[in-house]
Order: sequence, then structure tokens, then C-alpha cells
Amino acid sequence: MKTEELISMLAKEPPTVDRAAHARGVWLPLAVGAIASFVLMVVWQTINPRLWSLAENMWFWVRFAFLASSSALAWLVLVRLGKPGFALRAKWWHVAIPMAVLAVLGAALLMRAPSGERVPMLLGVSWDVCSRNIAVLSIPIFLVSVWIARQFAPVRLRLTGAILGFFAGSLGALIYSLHCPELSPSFLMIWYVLGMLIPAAVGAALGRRLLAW
Amino acid sequence: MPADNALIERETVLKAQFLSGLAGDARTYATCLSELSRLLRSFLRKRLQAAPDEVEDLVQEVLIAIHNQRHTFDAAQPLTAWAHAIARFKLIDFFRRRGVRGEQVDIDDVEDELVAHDDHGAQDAKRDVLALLDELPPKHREAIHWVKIEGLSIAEAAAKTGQSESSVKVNIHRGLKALADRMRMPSAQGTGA
Repeated sequence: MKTEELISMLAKEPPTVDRAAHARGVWLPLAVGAIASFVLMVVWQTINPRLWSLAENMWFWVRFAFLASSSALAWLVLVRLGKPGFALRAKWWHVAIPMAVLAVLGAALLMRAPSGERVPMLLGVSWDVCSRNIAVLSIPIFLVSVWIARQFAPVRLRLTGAILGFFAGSLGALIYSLHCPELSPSFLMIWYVLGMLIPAAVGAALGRRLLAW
Repeated sequence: MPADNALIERETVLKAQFLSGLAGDARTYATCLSELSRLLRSFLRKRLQAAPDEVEDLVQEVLIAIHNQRHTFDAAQPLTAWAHAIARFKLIDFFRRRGVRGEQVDIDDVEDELVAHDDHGAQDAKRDVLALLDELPPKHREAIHWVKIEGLSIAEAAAKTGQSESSVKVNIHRGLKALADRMRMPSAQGTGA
């Protein structure tokens, strides 16, 4: 087939784009993934019965801001990476800003704390399960995000995979925070961040295979 | 600088054509793809000097990619930058499939938009897209055949195939995506003419 014939074939029906259908193709799976992850958290870990009293603590909202801003930034970068013209100059490192702020805060609090309190601040009561729980809760969001990203045109597959995984990790962590009693930035900067980086590493490793088009 | 003005002018025209295509004007859409194919050919020929007979196949692959992913074009960006990013991606993908390591290939350009410096005519593609279409699942193949080859409207094709109008559209879309996948498969290399 000659190229000119291919072009007239491609242009045969009006090449209209159904924006509403494409938007549904994004928000529907995203909602399904988030709900699946939430249900998994409720069944497997339960919502923290002391959630309302936790929410009176300022640090609860610091944690919320950290996780919500990480999720939102990762999503924005992911959307840009899905658009070829923007992808090459997408400022992907923006997703690390909340982590950097948290790390400064966590380190400062550690340094100010009496030496005997430092280890409990770092380990909390759940250091041994926290990262794993976040990684597991990110799985449904990871899967739907792959589905979503495949509808776009990512031209940097490894990076897109990493950001996609980081988004799943951040939103998974946000959902996990409805269970988790840990509020100390010193704890979050290690165990939460580790849990969020696990799906990011998986995404980077599988990006080329999962997202090729 | 007159050369720059010409570039800006061309970008403006191409983008306007592409956008009016997305708004439903098939004629200007075809004109736009035609001009893009000229730019793509020149871009790819320069970078595929060792494999000149692959150029046209890759031009067609990029054109189908551009069509399939047209919803990812954002009117806030230059069309040529968007098309360039897709062409660059497909070129790297091509090298990777061929087993050439990406780092050995110079695909980074001074300009990040498609710029044609010379204009040779199209050579024949090695791979026959029609033959690849025949390998698609029947639902996809029929929808594409009646609408894209025979030129029936969606409604007419729906009546012919017994599919609903919306599934004709979906099957065309999925079929063209499957076509793009097949173009990447090693078995697709060299099939057809």
C-alpha cells in the first residue's frame, strides 16, 4: 500500500476525537482502582477506629498534605508524559518535592529530639509492615494506571513506568493512612517513602514491556 | 529571518489543518497527514541512511501512530513538536527491535520539531499494510474494510456488518491499534510485496 493510499484510508471517516469518551477512559478506571484499593485496606487492615481523634492532631494533616501532594504531582507529571510534545521536557523531578520537604522536616525533628526518643520516632509501632502494606495497597491502582497510560502515547517508557508506579504508591499510601497510626515525619520519610518507591521501581523495570505501543 | 518565518508559517498552517481535522474535516486532515509524511520521510531518511529501504515502512508506521494517538495532541503545543516526539519514539523503537543499542544512534536533534531540508519522493513500502489488515480478527477487519477502504459511512457499515454504529467505531479504533502492534512484530517485517 502506498503512503498516500494509507493517508486517504486514515482520513476516510471524519477523524473526530471523542473527548468525553477519552475522559471516561481515564476517570472510570482510576475510580475503580482507588475503590478496590480502599476496599482491600478496609478488609485487610480496617479503618483506624481512632481516626477522628488522630485527625485532631496537626501531624495528621501534615501527613495528609504530603501524600495528597505527592499523588497530585505524580498524576500531573504522568499526564504530561502521556502527551508526546510535552513528554521530552516534563519536569518529572517535581514529584520528589514533597519527599524532600518531608525529609528536611523529619531530620530536623530527629535532631531536636532527646537521643532516647530517636529510635522510637524512626520505628514507630509498625515499621516492619508499613512499606509492605503500602506496596500491596498500590497494586490495584498500579494496574489501572497501566491501563490508563496505554491509552495515551508515552514516549519515555521507563520514566513513565516509574512515575506511574510512584503515583500508585502515593495514592496507595494515602489510602493506607486511613488505617495507619504513624504520624511522625521521621517515620514517614523512611517507611512511607520506601513503600511508595517499591511500585515506582517495579514500574521503571516493567515500563518498556507494559507501555510499548 | 525568512527561514524561521517559513517554519512558523508552516507550523501554523499544519496545526490549523490538524485541528480542523480533529473537528471533523477529513479533507484538511488528509492534506495535513500528507504534508507530515513529507516531513517524516525527510526526518527518517536522514537517520536511516544505512537502511534506506526501511524508510517508507517507518513513515507509514508513524502516520498510523499519529492517527491512533491523535487525542493526545494538545492544542497548546506545536503540532510539529508533537509529531517529532512520536517519530523519534518510533525510530528508537525501530532501532531497538533491530538490536541496535539506542546510545549508539544519534537521534537527538538540534531542533525538536520536524524540519524538512530536502524532499525526495516516496519510495514503495516493503510491508503491505493491506496484507496486515487481513490478519486482523474479523470484527476489526470488516469494520476497517467497509469504512476505511470502501468508504462507507459508519451507519452503512453497521448495516453491512450487523455491528452497532458505536461498535463499528470501536472496532475501527481497536483494529488500527492492532495494526500498529503488528507493524512492530518481527514477523511483519518483509511480509507483503
